[in-house]
Amino acid sequence: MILSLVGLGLVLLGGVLALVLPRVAGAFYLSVVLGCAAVATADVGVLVSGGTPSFSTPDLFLSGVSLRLDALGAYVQGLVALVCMVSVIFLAGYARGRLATPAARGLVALFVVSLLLVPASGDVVSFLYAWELMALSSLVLVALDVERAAVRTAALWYAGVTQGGGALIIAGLVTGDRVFGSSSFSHWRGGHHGASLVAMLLLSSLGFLAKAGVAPLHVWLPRAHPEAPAPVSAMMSGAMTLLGVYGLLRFDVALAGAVAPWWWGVLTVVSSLSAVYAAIHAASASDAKRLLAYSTMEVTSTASSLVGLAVLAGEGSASSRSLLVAALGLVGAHALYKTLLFLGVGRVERLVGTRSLDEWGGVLRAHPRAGGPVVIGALAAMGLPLTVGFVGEWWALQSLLRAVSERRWSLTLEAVVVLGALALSVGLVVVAMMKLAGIGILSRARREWRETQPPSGWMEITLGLLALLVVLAGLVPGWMNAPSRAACVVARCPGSSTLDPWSLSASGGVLLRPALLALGGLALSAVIVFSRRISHSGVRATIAWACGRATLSPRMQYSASSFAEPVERVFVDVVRPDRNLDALDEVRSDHALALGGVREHRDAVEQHLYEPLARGARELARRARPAANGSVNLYATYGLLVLLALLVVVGR
Amino acid sequence: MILVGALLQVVVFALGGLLLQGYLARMRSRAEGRRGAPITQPLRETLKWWGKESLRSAESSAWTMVAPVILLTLALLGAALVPLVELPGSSALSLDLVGGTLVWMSGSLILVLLALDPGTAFGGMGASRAVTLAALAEPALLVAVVGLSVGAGSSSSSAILLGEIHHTAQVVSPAHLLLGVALLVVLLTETGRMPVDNPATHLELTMIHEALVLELAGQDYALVSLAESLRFGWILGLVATLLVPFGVASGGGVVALILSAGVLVVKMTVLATLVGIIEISSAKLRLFRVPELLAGGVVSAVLGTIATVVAR
Repeated sequence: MILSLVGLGLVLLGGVLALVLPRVAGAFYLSVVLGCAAVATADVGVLVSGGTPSFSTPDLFLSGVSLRLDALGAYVQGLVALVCMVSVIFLAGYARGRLATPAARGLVALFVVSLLLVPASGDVVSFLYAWELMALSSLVLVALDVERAAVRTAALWYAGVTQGGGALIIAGLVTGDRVFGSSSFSHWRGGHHGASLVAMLLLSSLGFLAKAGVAPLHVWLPRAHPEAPAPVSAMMSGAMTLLGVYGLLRFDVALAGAVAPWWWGVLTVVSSLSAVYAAIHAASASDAKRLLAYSTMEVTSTASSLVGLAVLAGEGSASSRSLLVAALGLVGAHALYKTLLFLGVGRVERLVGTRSLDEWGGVLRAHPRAGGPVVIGALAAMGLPLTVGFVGEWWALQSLLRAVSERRWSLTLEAVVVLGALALSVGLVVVAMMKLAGIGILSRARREWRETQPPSGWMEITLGLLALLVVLAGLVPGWMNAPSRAACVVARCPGSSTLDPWSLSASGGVLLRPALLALGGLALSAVIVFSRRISHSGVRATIAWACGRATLSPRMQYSASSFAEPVERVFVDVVRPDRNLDALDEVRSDHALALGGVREHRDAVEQHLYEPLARGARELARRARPAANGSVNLYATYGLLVLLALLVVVGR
Repeated sequence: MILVGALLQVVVFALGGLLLQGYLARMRSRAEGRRGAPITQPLRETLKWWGKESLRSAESSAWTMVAPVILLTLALLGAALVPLVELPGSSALSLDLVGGTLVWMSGSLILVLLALDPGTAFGGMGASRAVTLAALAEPALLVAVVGLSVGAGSSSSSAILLGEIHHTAQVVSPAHLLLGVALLVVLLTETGRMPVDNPATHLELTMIHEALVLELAGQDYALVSLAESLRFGWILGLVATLLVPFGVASGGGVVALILSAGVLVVKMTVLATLVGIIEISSAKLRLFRVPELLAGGVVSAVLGTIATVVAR
């Protein structure tokens, strides 16, 4: 625990240094990065040794700070620390404008500390403080460029959902406090029943699902992720949504898994649908970061559907545990490759000067050190073998296979639904990632770049290291031992078996070792390359053939929008593209309307669920305006009336 | 022996893939009243391209350089590691069916990225269509694979085949047939056969698979076309063996292996004939009618899976 505390202290110290020594930015970076590294090391220690270190201070203000790390907390905190560490290193090269001010650095340190504290909190008060601090600091970081209208809208949506979700979590955990009779999580054990536990389950799980970005509570995600600066998006996507899944596991699955099975059934199905919905939007988005935001939503939704299914499978069943491992492994793999993708896309955005994939292209050729990592990240997100994405996907499929095979009808049916949704959403995410890598990074440049930032070593080093990590974690799937331990905390399994570090499967299988397959693949490739050499056929660089006309302009390539057009047509009822109808000046008449490009894909949930609500609230506020005419006497009267009403209610 | 089996399997899939493509083309020609090219035509063409210079767009990136090799490597690995000629004594020596399928699917992803790299309009068009259809084929494929694994309680391919061999009733059950239909739909989609794509077309507006390889020439194209043939042979062999699991050697000497490979070739030819009959007797679907076909595949995979669980 000492190492962990030292780490947290170092991150805080970094924040203080940013404000005290505004000129020495290096001190801030060094301190925060070292702090994250220390925390991650401590987490590895906890995962390996299997203890649950704890720490608490005497009452400071209303309550003390209480920290407690078990395997689940350590796994999540370790991932969070890793994501924050690389994001902050990247920030060293990326920061510019308002993001490079001491205040912004202080905020980043605060955000990192709160992210690290959430999974380590040992009682209700510490957890809620950390949670709210995380929400608020990330909100300010999202709203950093407040002059832009898109940023303001995004921040408003984010504030609305995150505060609403936060309120639900506060209500849920306070209810939990009453159910379990203690505010310390170490006294929160399963086996309780009753209406208040159901209330806690409903309230807190809704709050956590909003943080994880499961439809219909996801609306903040595709707005806030794109508008935040790249390292902040990376931390929000890789680490913060992960904490939503963490909360769901820690408070709802572990403590209230046995009550309200109908709720878990609903959660499973809704999460599956949410994953497909997110994947369709990811496939049709043409803003690179919006695409990534929707694919984040796809992963967290899939994880939450696996979690729901694990509860339905029943505590102690083999498939339940492996579903939990799969869910944790999926979000763990996602944390790695999505951080890489958000950072890489942020780097490319600075090169090209826009986030719109319609104008990208030719990045790999011109800037291999910026484009290459993004391609690797996209391949991992597609679940290509020998990357970390494959490990998560493989585990998810295996655990679903087990759930399908259990002979219980309701479970089999739900598992087939989840499996179908998983397969379809994975397929659609492939379309999205293909668009990002193929249209955005490969192909030819679609416009003159304005290089808005000179290349910085920090950004490229971070991207290279992360890409390496994404591949290494795919070659050595032994890291799945960590989610396996963490799942045991939730499922309360007695002892956990240790997986072979090289093998995907617990049951062995020589060929399920990715490293072995990679070696075989390398050998085969070497043979192919060698036989090419000795055949003397030669290679010539020439102009592209393009069916006989080689002087095509790069603007005639398929763009991101045209690439996604078939998917959009198939799912037209979900995507509902808004098209620009532009009257051409030279042929202006009633009939001559030129069909312009797709402007923007509105989120159907946002449009049809939230906007009517917002309109209603605005209308209500308008009607209520005469009642608030600015007179203090009137307000005092209102206060009196409310007090009287309360007394009547309480006194009865 | 396992190594010999794997090697034999690669040869069967490579040659089988190439020759069966020629066989299908010839079948079609005959049905149209033409004589058609000999069935060795694809093999000869691939050999011809191997000897020719590779032309690459000067504006393409490093991906164009490495992708043909990666593609062929993945195809070879997939073809060698899911045992269909000889069942190893322990399942430790077979690639699991889920893993094998994902390796197989990833080949088409590599190819799509390769098509996008030179930045031409046709490459983009083919890529966009191919990847859309692949996305929609994925549920049918994965659900069907899980459905087949449910019977054995494991996704290890040799466990599945052994389970099927020992429980003959499973093989002729309706559930099995439904899964077979799903796999057939996936096979037609992913290998670009009618009614999804017309392999004989050179009309740009309708082509999917041809558009992906338009920019390839010479040795690069030979590698890609060999890899595609391997993938075609693999999926034919896999589907045929899963549907009719008999005649697979388990142990035994070289003779047994050769016999088993012969049986595999027969099964692949029968399945290819079925594909050919479908191809001759159906017109190409409009692109946006293909999702309906694939939805049918998903439905039949789901029904097959549930029926398998019920029957167990």
